[in-house]
Amino acid sequence: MAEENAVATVVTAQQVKDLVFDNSQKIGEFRLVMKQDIKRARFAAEKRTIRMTEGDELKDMIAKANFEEKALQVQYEASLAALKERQAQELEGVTDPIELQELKLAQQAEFNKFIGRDDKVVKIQNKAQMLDLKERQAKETEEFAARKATALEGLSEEEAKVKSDELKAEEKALNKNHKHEEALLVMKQRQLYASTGYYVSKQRNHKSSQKRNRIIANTSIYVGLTIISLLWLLPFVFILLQSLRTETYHGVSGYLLLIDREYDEFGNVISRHWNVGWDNYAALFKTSENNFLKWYLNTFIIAVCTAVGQTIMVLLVSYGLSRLRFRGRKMLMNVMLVLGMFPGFLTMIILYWMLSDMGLTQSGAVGGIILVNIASSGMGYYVCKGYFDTIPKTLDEAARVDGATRAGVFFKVIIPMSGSIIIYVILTAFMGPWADYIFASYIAFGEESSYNVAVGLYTWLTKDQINSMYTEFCAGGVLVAIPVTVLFMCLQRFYVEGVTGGAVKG
Amino acid sequence: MTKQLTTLEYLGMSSIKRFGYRSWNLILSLPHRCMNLLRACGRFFKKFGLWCAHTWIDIWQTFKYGDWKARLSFIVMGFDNICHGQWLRGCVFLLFEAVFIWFMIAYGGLWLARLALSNLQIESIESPTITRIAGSNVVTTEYQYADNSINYLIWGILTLFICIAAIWTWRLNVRQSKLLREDMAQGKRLHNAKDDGYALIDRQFHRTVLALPTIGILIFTVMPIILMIMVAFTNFDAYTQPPMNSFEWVGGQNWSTIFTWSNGGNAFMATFGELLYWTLLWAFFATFTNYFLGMFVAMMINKKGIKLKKMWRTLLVITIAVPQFISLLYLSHMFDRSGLVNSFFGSDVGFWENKWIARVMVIVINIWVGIPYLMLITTGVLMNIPADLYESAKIDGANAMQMYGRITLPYMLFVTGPYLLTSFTGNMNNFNVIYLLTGGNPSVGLYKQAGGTDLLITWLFKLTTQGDHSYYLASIIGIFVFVVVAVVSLIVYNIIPSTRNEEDFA
Repeated sequence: MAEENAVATVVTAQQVKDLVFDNSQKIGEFRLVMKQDIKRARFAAEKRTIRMTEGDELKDMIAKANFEEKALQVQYEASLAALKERQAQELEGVTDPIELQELKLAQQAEFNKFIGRDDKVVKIQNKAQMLDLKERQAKETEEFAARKATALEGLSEEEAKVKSDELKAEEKALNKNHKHEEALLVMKQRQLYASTGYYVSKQRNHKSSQKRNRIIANTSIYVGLTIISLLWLLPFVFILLQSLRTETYHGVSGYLLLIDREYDEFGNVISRHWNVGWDNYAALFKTSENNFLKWYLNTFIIAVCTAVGQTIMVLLVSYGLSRLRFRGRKMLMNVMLVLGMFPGFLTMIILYWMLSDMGLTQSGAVGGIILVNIASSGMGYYVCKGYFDTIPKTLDEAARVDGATRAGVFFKVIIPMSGSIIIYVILTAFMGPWADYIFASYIAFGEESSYNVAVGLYTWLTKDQINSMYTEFCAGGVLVAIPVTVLFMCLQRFYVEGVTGGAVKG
Repeated sequence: MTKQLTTLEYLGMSSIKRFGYRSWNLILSLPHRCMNLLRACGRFFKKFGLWCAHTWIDIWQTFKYGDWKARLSFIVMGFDNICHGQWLRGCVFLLFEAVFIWFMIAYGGLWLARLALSNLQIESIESPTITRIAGSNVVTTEYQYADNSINYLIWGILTLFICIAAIWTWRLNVRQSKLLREDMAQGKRLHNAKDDGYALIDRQFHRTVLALPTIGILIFTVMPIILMIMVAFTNFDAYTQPPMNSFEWVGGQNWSTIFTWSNGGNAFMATFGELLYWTLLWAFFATFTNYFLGMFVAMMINKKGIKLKKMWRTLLVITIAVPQFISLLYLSHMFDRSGLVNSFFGSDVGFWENKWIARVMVIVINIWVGIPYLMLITTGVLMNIPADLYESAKIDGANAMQMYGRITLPYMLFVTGPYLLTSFTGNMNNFNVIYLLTGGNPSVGLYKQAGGTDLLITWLFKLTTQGDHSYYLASIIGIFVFVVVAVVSLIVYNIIPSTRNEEDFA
């Protein structure tokens, strides 16, 4: 306490006069200095620290300061009245409601500035208050810690236990209290700050420049988005164009479409001949030359069967792990998590040998792929489980109170409510086999008629075939992409819901 | 430096100092965390040991206090159930026992015996017998087929699984006697077939729901993984492939040869190290460039004042719809020496021929593939951030960078923390992008055809489909990959705050 007495404010008369005849902001500050707590004055903007002397001099100084303050007060009130009158006059001539409101806000800001509720000052005030609070709280915590350290001495075991429980509860309450105080202070400060009107007045002052900034930002974002969309869609446009090439060279080229030009003797162009046509697409359907249709059919069969089987498996597992509680549930989830960390390709080698025993490789590869896809699909339950977790459990309980079994709850309550996630699961399960290269190529190795589309198209791009099959590859790619893309676009809503809803939580 | 700072002192330090303080504390807490981990392991083993002891005591007591029916059911499974009228349960157990005994006599015993053989073959291969029909030039060569080692391995392990399942079922059967005794002592009505059926859809619905998926996962995921781990201890490759040859157990010899192969740049460990370095680098860049750029695009689309939000999103989402292999294969040929990009710019850059250019290209194209997906996810999260956080930040005078760094980014990182982790480990095993774009080239003379952009997993693929087909080497690498992924996941999962203090996040 002694230290606090040593640092206080006392002003000489000359200093008071200086302050009075400076601008209004300094008046406000002076009021702050005089009116507020002595401690808070430490954090005033210009960091004036004025030393104090002791004894009678102090009394004289304080009396003088009080006198001057009264003079200031009178002057201040006079100017305040003048300001109010001026603002009332300004308001009279305005009829437009929007302008009226803006004017009112500006006047509010001016008023706040006049009485010292300036934003900078308020900021400093807030910081000061916050630091005070933190100091006080730190002190309380230290006191409590000290008390805690000595409280447990000299007690018996039971008493010590009881006492330590008490202390723990007290500490918890103390921390909670501190957090509350902090939150309260922050709220109060925010309110005070918002009422300074500084933000509004700043907006009004810079309204035109802000609008200009916003227009610039929006335009650049539009330009950026256009460029990004173009970049992302260009490869597909290229594939489409290159699949329409009909000249004799069917390999990789540096041009999109070839134009044959005929020149007359002067070097002018007589006619142009676009080498476009549907030849590549026609070539795909020649079953005597390639197996594209067979591959397409294979992939379609695999996709449909996988979609059905995988959906059933995933729904069952998700429901079981999300809603039902049984011993070993956590262990099951952890085991599946760990199993997912193994590189998937390892299992494929052994699966190939297993399936070849059962005759499901090479020519029977379609069946093998379907079996493996369905059997181990239970591990991909995360999105669906996340979705089921968001269905409120009260629905379950209501149904059970009405006498439904758990199976009944599943079929009558959960399934009807989760239409979008079921479509998401079906969609992802259907789209998977179209793009599956690694597994299909390993299982169907060597037997061309049981490739799926990905493997088949890949073989067209090997070194010996690429010069004659590249454009057919593009055509095949377009044919594969179109149904899948159309399906995806129609069901896009469900896909987005599934991804944004469930994938993040998993 | 090691003292615990009070809140005030902590707030008083600069942010660099704060970071240093936190990291130092993290390092200091490592021994404590390791001890916690060891204690958790100890607890787990203790629980397991107690469970074993309890089970054993249970079985012994059932035998000791049971009547002759209970003791007979130790040998004839299901006898006790049938005697007390539980036809269904008894018959199921009896049937299981009959099938199991038939299986073991007919096949299982043989396979188990073969599994224990040291070289996985019964008869040794003799050289092919060449006979010559007298008086002509016809030569017939008789090859002797070796025993199919991989079959021995597969069916041996399957038999082992079945034996374990049989022991488990026998334990359940013994438990039946105990349950019957208890129920009769308490005078409760015994469960009959109708009760059991009803329980399967109500109380024990989790068993119905999870039975089929679990069996599928056990046979098609767990067993292959166990088998691959065992293959790591054999010498299974193209030269010992059935049906012409057989492989044998070599035990730890594989591991010692791998670790002592260190002659020059062609060594296994050197290649492994190089590939591991690139895998980690690739996973890091692939994940985080996609993440931040996707977030940036999502923020651009989500900004107030941008029209046609849905159109922008749809245009980008088309990239997800088209099967990846088409776009990736096409892009890989677009950047060929004679491809579209080179002829457009009139240059002759070999994009896929220089190791580092190929690596950069792969990362850039992965951005093309991954941004739409990340954009969807981050849009969902962005729309959930409460808007008044931004407003109050603007009032406090934050500019756009501060708002991003202090509001958006922490929120996003918190919510999508686990997703980032799974994305990182998924990218470490991301086969499609690398293999379809570059095939693992350019070849830089590393051991066993590993290339400049090869990940560990693509190297695995090459090892098993080209050249030596060394499956044992592939499985060793697979085990390494699993260890790396598991360690990284565990560490990161325990550090990030998303999984620790969910309730503190506000």
